[in-house]
Amino acid sequence: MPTQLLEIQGLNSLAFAMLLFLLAAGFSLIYGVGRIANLAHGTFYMLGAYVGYTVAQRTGNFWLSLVVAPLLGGALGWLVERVLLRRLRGRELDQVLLTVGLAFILADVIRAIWGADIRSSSPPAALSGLVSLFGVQYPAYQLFVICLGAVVFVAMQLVLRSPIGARLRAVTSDPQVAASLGVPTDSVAALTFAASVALAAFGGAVGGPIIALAPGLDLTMMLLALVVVVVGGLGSVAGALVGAIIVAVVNGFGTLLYPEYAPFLIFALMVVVLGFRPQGLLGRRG
Amino acid sequence: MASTVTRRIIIVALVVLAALAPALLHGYALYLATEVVLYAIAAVALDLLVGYAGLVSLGQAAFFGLGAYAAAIVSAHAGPNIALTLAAGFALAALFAAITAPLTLRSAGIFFLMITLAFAQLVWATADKWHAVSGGSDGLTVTKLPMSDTAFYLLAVGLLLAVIVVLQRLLRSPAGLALEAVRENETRARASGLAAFWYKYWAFVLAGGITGLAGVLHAHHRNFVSLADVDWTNSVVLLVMVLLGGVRSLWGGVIGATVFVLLQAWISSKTDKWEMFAIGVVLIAIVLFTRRGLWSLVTRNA
Repeated sequence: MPTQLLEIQGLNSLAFAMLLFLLAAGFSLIYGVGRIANLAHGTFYMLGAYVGYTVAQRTGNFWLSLVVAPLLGGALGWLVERVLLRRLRGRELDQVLLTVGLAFILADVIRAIWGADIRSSSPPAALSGLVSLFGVQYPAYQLFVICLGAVVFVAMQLVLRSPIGARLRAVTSDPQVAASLGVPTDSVAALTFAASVALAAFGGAVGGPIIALAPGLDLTMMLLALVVVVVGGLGSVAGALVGAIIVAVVNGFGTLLYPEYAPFLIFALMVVVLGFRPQGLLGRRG
Repeated sequence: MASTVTRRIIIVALVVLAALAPALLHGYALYLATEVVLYAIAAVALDLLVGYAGLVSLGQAAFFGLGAYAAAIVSAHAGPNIALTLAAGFALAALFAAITAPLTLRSAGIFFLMITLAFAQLVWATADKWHAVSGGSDGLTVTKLPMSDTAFYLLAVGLLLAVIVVLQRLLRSPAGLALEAVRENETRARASGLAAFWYKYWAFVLAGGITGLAGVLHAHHRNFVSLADVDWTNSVVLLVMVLLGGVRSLWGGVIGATVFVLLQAWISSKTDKWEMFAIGVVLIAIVLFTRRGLWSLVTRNA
């Protein structure tokens, strides 16, 4: 196998890992704050992707789509938390089922608006070319996605260390104690949910030029996010990043070396982690 | 007391109605009645997990689909023999449950739900990729059984009743009581010497096998097997049925399946584009408004 091919596949995997990270980090945060497993998370990714696609098509401005998709996603997430999920606080199972119902509803709505044809958006003109990197020609857009993921990771670390982040961490570790200390747990929960959904929708808009859009993408992405958090460990942003990179690398090189078995390699990875470290690589027990 | 009598009357009425159905029903109505019965078998099995073992599985489509594919493949090689396909479907689904249970049962609550979903998607991916065996996205035609639609319906009813009777006996036995003790407080059950894992393990395997039986019937009923049978939508649908009927009552699964299949038939007669939407609305309505399902509304003492 020529090293150039390996290098390109490595970079591709890293770009894919960043999309998975945007998805899994939000999933993980929502679980941490409200013990909600949001099975509509892949749907929010897909919604962001379609909205981004349409905005870029209509306005001809790709960058605008990266703003509109997360704003819309954030507003929707805030609404869902305030109107629906909040009534079910503390009822973990009912909350999961509610998100499943939401995923079903949105899947039909998205299909009604955008149809079932496969669509893919194109990267903005400025990033549509190739760049030379360590001797290989590599798409500039993929490189941009890798940098973007790194920026989001650093930004999330900074936010988590800020006063707002401290409240979030307080609610994650013990909601009752946090509430008794005057942390507004309701606002923290709503804000976290909105921000996480915005992140998923942002991921969708960013991923448009990389992963083609079609019905069924919601479930695919949700399952990938699930595998990422199982591997990396729920409840930590670093775990989401590590999990995303491992899953994307296994997926990328699996597709390259054993195309027939690629989908199974990810599950095999999950099974191995579950067997030896049920809490995930960076997760804590309990 | 009043509620026990009401329950008995409703159950007897249901059984009589089910036995009389083929005399009254033909064509599409008989088709729907059969659909109700075979989904009821799968819903009852899921209720064993949700209601009695405390295991909320979102991966039942795997067992349902394995049963269906087993029926198609066995029919193609050994001819359409219902006894053979039922045995094969039960065995294959139970085997998959037996293999995955040690991993899924390491987690509880919503983790269990997520892991079972992931394993079910593994079956989906296998059916999608392994074209030579499963027909991939084309699916497989199932050789028609040498029996009338009425006979097939009665067979399905017989199987449903057998499943309910067996499970009721099992749940009243010491093993069934132990299973409930484990659900209510696993730590205490362990402390009193119960092998908590094994009770959950066998409940999971048994429920998997029974769901496989439902899949076999489904394959023979439609004479076709496809990826839709292993789709996670099926797992959600079964969970909706159990919740509609009310958990911790095996008959609740039957009621839930009846209500859901009829509701779905009514919706698809109106529109073919908004089925998922409707299922989603029903699911959200259940979790928001009825905490314990329709069956609990019936048996609640007035």
